[in-house]
This record gives sequence, C-alpha cells and structure tokens, in this order.
Amino acid sequence: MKNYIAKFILNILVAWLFFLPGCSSEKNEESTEKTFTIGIMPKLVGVDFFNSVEKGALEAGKELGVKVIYDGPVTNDVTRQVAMIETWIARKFDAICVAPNDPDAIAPVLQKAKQRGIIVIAYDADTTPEVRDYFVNQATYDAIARSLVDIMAEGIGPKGKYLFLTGSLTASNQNIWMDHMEKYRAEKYPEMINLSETPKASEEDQALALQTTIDILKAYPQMEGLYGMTSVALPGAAEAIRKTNAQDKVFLTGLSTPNAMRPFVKVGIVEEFVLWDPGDLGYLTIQAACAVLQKTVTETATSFTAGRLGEIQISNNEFLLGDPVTFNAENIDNYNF
Amino acid sequence: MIKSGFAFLASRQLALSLLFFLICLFFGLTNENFRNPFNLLDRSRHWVEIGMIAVPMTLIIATGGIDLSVGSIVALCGIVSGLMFEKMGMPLPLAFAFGVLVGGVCGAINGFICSRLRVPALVTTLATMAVFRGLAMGLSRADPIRGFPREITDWAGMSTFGWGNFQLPHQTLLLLILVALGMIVLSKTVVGRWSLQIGENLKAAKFATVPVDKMHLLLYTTCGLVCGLASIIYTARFATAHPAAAKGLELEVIACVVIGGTRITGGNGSVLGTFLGVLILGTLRFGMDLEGILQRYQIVLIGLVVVLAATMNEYVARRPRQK
Repeated sequence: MKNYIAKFILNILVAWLFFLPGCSSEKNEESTEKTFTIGIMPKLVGVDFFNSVEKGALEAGKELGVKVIYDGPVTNDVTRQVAMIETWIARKFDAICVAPNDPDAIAPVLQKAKQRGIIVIAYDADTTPEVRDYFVNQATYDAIARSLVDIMAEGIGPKGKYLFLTGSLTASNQNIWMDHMEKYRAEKYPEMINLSETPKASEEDQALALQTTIDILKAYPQMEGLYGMTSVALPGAAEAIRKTNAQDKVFLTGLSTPNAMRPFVKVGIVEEFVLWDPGDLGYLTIQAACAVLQKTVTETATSFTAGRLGEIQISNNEFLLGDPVTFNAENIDNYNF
Repeated sequence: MIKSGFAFLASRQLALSLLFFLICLFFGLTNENFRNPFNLLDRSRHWVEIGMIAVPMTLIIATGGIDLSVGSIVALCGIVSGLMFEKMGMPLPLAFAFGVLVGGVCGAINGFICSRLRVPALVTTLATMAVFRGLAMGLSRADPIRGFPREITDWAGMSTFGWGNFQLPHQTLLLLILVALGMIVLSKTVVGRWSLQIGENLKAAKFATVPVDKMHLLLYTTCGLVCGLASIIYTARFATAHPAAAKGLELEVIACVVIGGTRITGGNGSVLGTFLGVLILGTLRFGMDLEGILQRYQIVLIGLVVVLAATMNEYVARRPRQK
C-alpha cells in the first residue's frame, strides 16, 4: 500500500516537472538601453595571476559601464570550463572571454556560443582560430622566449645545462613558449644543453612543483639552470631551492607574478624573471570585447584605443598587449599582483 | 536482512525525489533560464558519463567494493581509440569498439587482483588508477589526440531528438537505457541478489555458495566496459582524446552513489537512488551556475550535500534495528 502511495506521489512530481516549463510566461524584455554582459573566465580561480586579471577586467568594466562577470573552475579542468560556458550561453551573455585549459576540448562549446551570436574572445591561451572571434595576445611568443633564454644564458653561461618545469604537459601556451625558446636557444646558444626532452610537470600545483623540483635536484645533479614555466611552478621551484640550499648551484628563472616571487628575489634565489602585467591583460580583454560589441573594432581594424593602455595593435584577429616586463630586485616593488 | 531496489522506494527514494523536486522548484522559481527545458536537457549531456559509470559502481559498492580507477580507464580507452583511429587508420566505429574492449580488460585486471590475489578493492583500484592514467599519458606522450572528425561532436554535442523545446540528447537516452538495465539487474536478477549478499556478509555468502570471485570479476569487468562506453561519449563531446581526461571523475561517481542511498560499506544499493543522486548533483550544479554562484562556494555546498546524504544513509540503515 505504502508503495502505491509513494509511486503515485512520484508520478505527480514528475508530471509537474514537465508541466512547470509550460507555466512560465516568456517575457520579451528589450529595453532600449542595453548594458552588455561580458563573462571572463580564468583557467582556474584563486591564483595570483588570475586574481589580477580579475582586477583589471573589473576596472575596465567600471570604466565602460558594462557588466563584467568573472568566474572559473577551482581546478584547471577544461570539462568544468565547458559546463560553465554552456550556462553562460544559456544566460545569454553578449561576450565570452576565456583562458582555455585545452585549446581543442573547449572548441566545440565556443563554436556553439559563436553560432548563437555571442562574441568569443580567447585570452592568455588561444584556441582553434575558427571558433573564436579574437585572441588577446599577452606578449608574442618570440618576445617571451627571447627574454627568458637571454636571462638563462647570462645566468649559467653559453654552455650551461638546464631543465624545464612546466604546468600540465598539455598546456598549449607553455608548450609553444618552450618550442620557441628551444629554437632561439639552438640558434643563439647552440652549446647549451636541455637535460630532458619532455619538460617536468607540476599541474598548476605549488606543492607539487616544490616536490618535483626536489626530485629533479636529486635526479639531475649536473643541472645548472631551471625554468619555472608557470606562475605556480616558479615559486614552487624557488621554495625547493631555498629548502635544499641549492641557490649557488642552480640558476632559476621563468614566468611568475611579483607577489609570489618577492621573497625569493629579495634574498637572491631568483635574480630576474619575466611576465606581462595580467592586470593589463584583463583590462585589455574587456576593452577589446566591448569595442567589438560596440562595433568600434571591425574586421579590417588594425588598431584601437584601449582606455589607459592607449593605442593597441590588432593583426590577424589578435590584440597585441606588447612586450613583457622583466622583474628584478630594483623594480619589483613597483608592482602589486 | 537484504533490501532490494523497490523496497526502499517508500522512504529513501521518495526523500530523494522530494529533494530533487525542491531543487527544481527553487531554481525554477528564481531563474527563467532554468525553467526552459531545452537548457536543462541540453545540460544533461554533462552528467551522462558520470551517470553511466555510476550504474555498475552502485553494484560494486553494494558488494562492499569500490572502483577508484574509472576516471583513468575512461582516459586510457579514449587514448587507445584515438591511436587506433589516427595512427593505425582503423575506421572510427571499430576504433571505439576496440577502446571499449580495452576498458573491459582494465576492469578484468581490477577484478582479477581483487578476487584472486585478495588485495582489497580500495588498494587495488588506487594502484590501477595510477597505472591506467600513466599508460594513457605514456601511450599518447601526454599529447591529446585531436584528429577526430568534427561530426562526432555534432552527434554527441548538438544532435538530439524530440520536439520543440524537449530535445533529448543522444547520450542521455543511452544513460536512461543503462539505468533501466541496472535497475533490472540489481533488483530482479541473481547477479543483483548475490551482490547484495556479498556486501551484507561475505562469509555467509561464501557458505551459501555464492560464487564470490566470479562475481567480483564480472562486476569490475562490466564497470570497465561501461567506462569504455563512457569514454566514447567523452571523446565525442570534445572531439579530443585527452590523457588527462576525466580526472576526479571517480569521486563524482562515488558521490552520486552515496547520495543515492547506497552505503559505502555495502549490503544495500539502489540504481534508481544513484540516478536520483546524479540528477540532484547535476541540477544543483546547473542551477548554481545559472544563478552565478561562484565556483569556490559551489564546491562547499556540494560537499555539504554529500555529508547530509551519508548521514541520512546511516540513519535509515540503523532505524529498522531499533524497532
């Protein structure tokens, strides 16, 4: 008996669920003054780098009077990014800006967004060019590669032995940088030696970067230089070098944020490292999205004025932020991110 | 005392249905995008892999076992299919079939180690989780395989059938079929009955001549095969076979099973409950996404739901004995 009652109630619930959508009155709200809603998604939330992207993005949103929504997955997980973008499509955002964790896995959902007339902009890392409208390029791959290799060559000499510590092995940005670095290194410093063809992975996890570096130090006693290729890998590696007192043996450089690296630069574990300003990157991304939405940037445009950043170049559907910044003990206190 | 799937209906599953209903009601009232069935059905594509694997996982957990390697198996199957398709030039359906087979083999390895070598399932699958993931990484040289034709994304990503706003994605239908099958197996067949007996009391089951070892082998192999099926959908959804695919999938699967009322120590289990668990977690996530609740707060809420469900399980399990 109890069973029948339960089944009966269940049936009503299910029927009601299907009935529910029919009850909703579809309102057609077309206000005359439309505020654009722009979503900007990091690879993951809760790291210095993307925190400053958020600051810059919100700053630009305030200046331009558009609604900026910043959110992303708590781990560098592309499936979560895809699920969230699906929701952003359903919420009818006007533009979606994303730093993809995987260039190809994110492509189908971005294509879907584009088909629905949403402006799609990739920043920080690119996706397949067909599925996005624009890419905001934080610094050309070549410029970054040259700065990093030159710093390393100065640190360990033109015959030094070095290794790469990257984020995840599939992170497209890091892989392209390392390609460019290896090419540039082969041309300019042919006698420098890369000790491992595959870079060591640290999965955007500082504790793992620390442990991996300690392991590397044991496995490659001949190593003289180490690149930390992500904003998390470099401080992790620096911490490992501080713990093992290896600063005289290993020259460390790479890409990270001044806040994360300040203690290590002050005590000389890291002398110089490279990055673009992520605050500017977030700022430019929103400026660009807004310009595209307002149609001040069209297919043929070669430059536009992006608020406080001034004139920004556009080529091949890419916005170019400019040269990277090299941080050292002298200038590091001028930055807070 | 052994309970089959339908005996629970009056208490446990009704409570879950009510919870699901309340979630839908809450988000339905507060968010017009949630009310649109198109969005909800479209979103269901994201639960399919979890839901599919949760079905054999329910049976495994009902026996008191667990399979932590499912995420890694999904990744390995995808990579193997991808390599067969891209490097060996196998036709796509055949490559996928081969992937499913690999899943079955992985599952059989789990089952063999558990039953014949008498290693606890937790330890076995913790180890194979690393092994299978490592194989996926190694075979692909940690490079995703991207040569799949875009049409497969259309199949798993866009194509649906139905009318108007009620568009059922292909893979959601597959999930529904699998859930129905799982319900029948657990509540109506000897396999289901034996699973519950093993979980309830292993020694008693052995005395009752339940073929415990064969059951383990069967269940883990089935789980591997289903992982292979899920990997086809996963690969199709992204048109990419990723060696890091489905990382952490096992935890979401187990969370759904636990929410569904299957005790982690075994002895009872309900596939319908598990399916409700999938629906609850899925709609909760979807609703929170639509409301714009930040991801960092979402995980807190989801953790709380799992704790609540587990507490309820213990309460429900203890109550009859006090009478």
